[in-house]
Amino acid sequence: MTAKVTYFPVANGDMTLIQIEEGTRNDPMRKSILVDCKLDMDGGANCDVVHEFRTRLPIDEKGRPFVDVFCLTHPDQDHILGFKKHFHTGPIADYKDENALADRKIYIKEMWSSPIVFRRAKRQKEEGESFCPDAQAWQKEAKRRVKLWRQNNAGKDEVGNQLKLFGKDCDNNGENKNADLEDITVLSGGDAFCAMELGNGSQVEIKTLGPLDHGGVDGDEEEASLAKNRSSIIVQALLYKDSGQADPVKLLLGGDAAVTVWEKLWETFGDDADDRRLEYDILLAPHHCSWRSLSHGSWSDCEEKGGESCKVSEDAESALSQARKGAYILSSSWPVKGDDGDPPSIGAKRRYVKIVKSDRFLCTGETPNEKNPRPIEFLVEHDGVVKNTKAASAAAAVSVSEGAMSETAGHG
Amino acid sequence: MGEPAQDKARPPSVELACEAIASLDFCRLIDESKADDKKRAWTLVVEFDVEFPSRTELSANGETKDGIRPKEPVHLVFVDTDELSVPIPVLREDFNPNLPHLTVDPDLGPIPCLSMGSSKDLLVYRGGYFGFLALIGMWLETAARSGLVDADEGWEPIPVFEGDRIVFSSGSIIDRLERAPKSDRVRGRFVGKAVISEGKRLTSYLVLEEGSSLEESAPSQTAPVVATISTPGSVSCWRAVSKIQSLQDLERVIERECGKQAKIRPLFSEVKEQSGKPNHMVVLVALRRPHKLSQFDLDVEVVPFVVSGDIDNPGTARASIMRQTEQVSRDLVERLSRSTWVGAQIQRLALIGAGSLGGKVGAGLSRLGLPAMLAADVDVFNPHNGIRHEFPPVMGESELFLKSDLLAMFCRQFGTQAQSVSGDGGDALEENLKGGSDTKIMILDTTASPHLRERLVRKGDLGGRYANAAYHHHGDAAHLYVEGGSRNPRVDDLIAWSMDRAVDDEKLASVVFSRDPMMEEIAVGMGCQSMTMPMDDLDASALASGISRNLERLMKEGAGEDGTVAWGIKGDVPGSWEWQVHSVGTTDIKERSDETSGWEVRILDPCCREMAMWGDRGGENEACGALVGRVDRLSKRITVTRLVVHPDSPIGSRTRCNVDLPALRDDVRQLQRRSREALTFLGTWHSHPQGGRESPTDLSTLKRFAERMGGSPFVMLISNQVSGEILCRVETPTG
Repeated sequence: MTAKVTYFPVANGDMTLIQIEEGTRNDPMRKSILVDCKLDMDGGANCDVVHEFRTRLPIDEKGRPFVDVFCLTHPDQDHILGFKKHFHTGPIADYKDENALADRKIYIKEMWSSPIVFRRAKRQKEEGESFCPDAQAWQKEAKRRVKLWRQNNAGKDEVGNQLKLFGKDCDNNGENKNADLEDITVLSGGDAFCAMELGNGSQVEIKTLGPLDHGGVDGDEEEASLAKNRSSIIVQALLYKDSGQADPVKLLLGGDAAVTVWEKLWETFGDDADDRRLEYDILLAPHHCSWRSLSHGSWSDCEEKGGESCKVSEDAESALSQARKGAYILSSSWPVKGDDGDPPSIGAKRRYVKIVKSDRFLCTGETPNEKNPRPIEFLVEHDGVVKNTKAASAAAAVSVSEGAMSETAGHG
Repeated sequence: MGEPAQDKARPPSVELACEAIASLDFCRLIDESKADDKKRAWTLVVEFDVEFPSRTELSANGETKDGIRPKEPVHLVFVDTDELSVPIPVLREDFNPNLPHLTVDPDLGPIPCLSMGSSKDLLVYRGGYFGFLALIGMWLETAARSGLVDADEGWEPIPVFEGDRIVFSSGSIIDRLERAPKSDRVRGRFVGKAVISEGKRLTSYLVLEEGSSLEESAPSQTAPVVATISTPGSVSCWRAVSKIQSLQDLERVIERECGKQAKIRPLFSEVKEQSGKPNHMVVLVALRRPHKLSQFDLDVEVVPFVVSGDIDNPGTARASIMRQTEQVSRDLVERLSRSTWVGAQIQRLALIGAGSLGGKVGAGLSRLGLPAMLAADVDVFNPHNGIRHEFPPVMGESELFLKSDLLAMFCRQFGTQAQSVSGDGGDALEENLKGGSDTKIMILDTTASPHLRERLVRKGDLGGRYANAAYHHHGDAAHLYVEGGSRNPRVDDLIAWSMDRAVDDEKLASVVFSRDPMMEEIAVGMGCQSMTMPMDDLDASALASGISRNLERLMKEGAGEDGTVAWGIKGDVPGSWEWQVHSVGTTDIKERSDETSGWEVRILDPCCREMAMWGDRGGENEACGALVGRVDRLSKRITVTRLVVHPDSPIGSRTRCNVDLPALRDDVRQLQRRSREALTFLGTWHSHPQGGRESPTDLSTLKRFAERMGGSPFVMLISNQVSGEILCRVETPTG
């Protein structure tokens, strides 16, 4: 039994795969949650992410690769790139792909999407500007599934049609457009829910932190502020390797959420000593290690002028500092350079390194080295996470060995 | 440590190890020294980063509860320094000696158990020094999380060949060749044989283990033939028994094998012609297995390697196991075997199961130009079974591929329109085969998954010609049953027929009836739904090859209406195989009815013929005798496999023929014994020369005898000599 989480080197972008599994690839005891994807690189990164991703996916009894859950934190291109090309959309009955396994479309058993995040993202776009084609494809598929719910279609609960909506979809007047979809709506701060589980107690539990609802009478103003601050689905994922795991491993995933969001999260959840929704064993540094997630200023201004721009928001930093013993912070980004670039920002990295030791700050573009980045895989153990570097090295070495396919053993 | 190594040029193995260490992020070289005694020709001290679970509590001195540190020094001790040498990883002196999977060498210190068998093979099969170093690191990390013993995730030493005899790089092969004395009387241990083509000249060499010697000059060194293309197109691998100690021994095996199974061809010039590469070398390497996969002592196999590229420049030459026939194109195979599928009666093969048997048969037929194939399998490929499955080296991701996908990919290389109907294979294959209209397809069922077979085969509504094949007895034998037209005779009949045949054939009996207490079946595959058995891969190859050959013939010439039974059994001469192929005619099936007391009765064709024959011989007189066969109580099916007749005469009078059962008892009992009780006394048969149904005497006899059967059904067959029909009654005592 393995519970693991893999962060793929997708330059500035996010792609995280959480898995609990047992047995071979077509064993039904394999489950996975994909959080964001970036499957067509924008050049430079020397890693075949498509291959790395696909070979980790389970396949169903008909030979179709799938993910149990695909969570899109927000519809920016660097979080959804390649969706149209690699994922099946439409009813599962229409899945007609006779390609080799390596090219077959991946189907999504359950989508996690947030209409309010889409609404806020749209609000930030220029007049006439639309989402990238992959985000549009996602939205269309989510709407198809929503329609089944609205029509109370008998197939709405079937695999390939399932859906969860994160946050209320309130318009500028505060009216929840999805009030009729309560059954599939997940509210921030709501109860934890089990996203997937296997028989032996291995499971992934989700506590939701975002997207934040706008509040009260100043709703529109606050809504505008949240829109500007890169609204995202934000979750704390709790991973249990098996029933013997008393204290789960905690992942904090926050998409591109910016400083204001983290301030509000600290305000909301910071003093909750029982729930500890901001606590983590691994934090995916928001917005690819952007300074804007920690500060209201810009990093280039800070570098050039100093002053206010260099000031870190105490609340935001507190929200992102709830590291447990031995925790890791990951920057899913290009290598972090000592310049005024952002993201990733060296300023943000310095703050994160203060939270965890320097050897616990990892950058997907630098691991194991800048020249040949590889997915960073963590295994869930009873006392935390362990980086799974050597198995990957061995596998890579075997794969290039001429004798790799030559070993014989006593069964088959 | 011995003397500092700075001033000494590193030997090849040390240099290779250092290159790997330098390129890995989780370890680094911190010290190096040259020989200090016989046990340490060279030592590298490598520091490994050991990853702990993030919340691990460490002691005051930074160790886990089992004493593992975040940085562990490991001494890589090179006993030998040639290119084939593998260092012994030695942990620090004060390493916790009580951990499992750890041995403490009194001279060297604590050594982690990385492999079962020689660690040398780790270099060959686990990615060279990169994989070897990674394995050390993984062992340390498993120890760090106290996981060396764990029912689910504990450490398992990698099973490998004993690598003392392995040759893995062309450079070292050539080096050894040059050092090998020009003689053919071997004193020492045989390693392999090499043939190098230089222009049109082929020179063969004997590859010997270090320290071996030869006494005489070798006239055989001009022998041009080393490898052959066997009829199904795969390069033969020959089993070499442990008594092979000389070139002559090896050549005798090759000749024997070639004579049985293959056409002897000078492969190398063909390969050269095809590839256009300047030089090629084939090396037959004897590999000794770490474990005896069967209970026999024959644990050495010979595997051909191809070394291609410029062998005068070892740095650019590549060595690979020849099983993939990367160098052997379909055209070449066709030219050598003169195989063509133009006009073949059956041009499509549907494989149910693409494992060690189905995969090999599919690949073999594909190399011979099989036009189209469907493959279904429920399982994923596991790279440690590379040779057994003959799948292509789809590097890196092959271990997560479905076997059927890999097989289809492989076969497409040879122009076969191959399609994988993967997953559980059920629906898609069913769609392709259902309906019974398409008779131009051979369905070969090799699956060990009862689930898949149940879904596809028992339904009985598949189109095409159904065949079933399997290995027996750790690869000592294999069968191929091809059902007759309209599924008659069926596989059940052919099994019963084989049992009956085996009664008179000691060799066949040894595999058909024997229940070897050593036989182990292993549950494998998704949800452990499949069963397989440990066996020698070379046996598997040879048997699959025979099955391919028989299938190829049936598909090309047409399977006819009869069923076919083919058995391949290990020959008396090591490395040889004997195949017997028989046709079996239509079974006379008596459906379940009141007259059969609800039993289905299947009368095999030879019985029908024999009954008719005795009927004819009897003329106006009745003939009679006893019946022997199988009783399957579960499916309520009786199969009549044999008639037993009185040794003097089975002919009676015009109206009566008494079956003298006491006189036949000994014969029947002997049959039962020889079949290990698989076959049993069923009842009686007699002829009605004047036609007509059962007489009152027949019915009273039926009842009387049924009462004496101890609960078993009693069968009475009557051969109606007028209509040619066989009437059947079955009586089961109601009590």
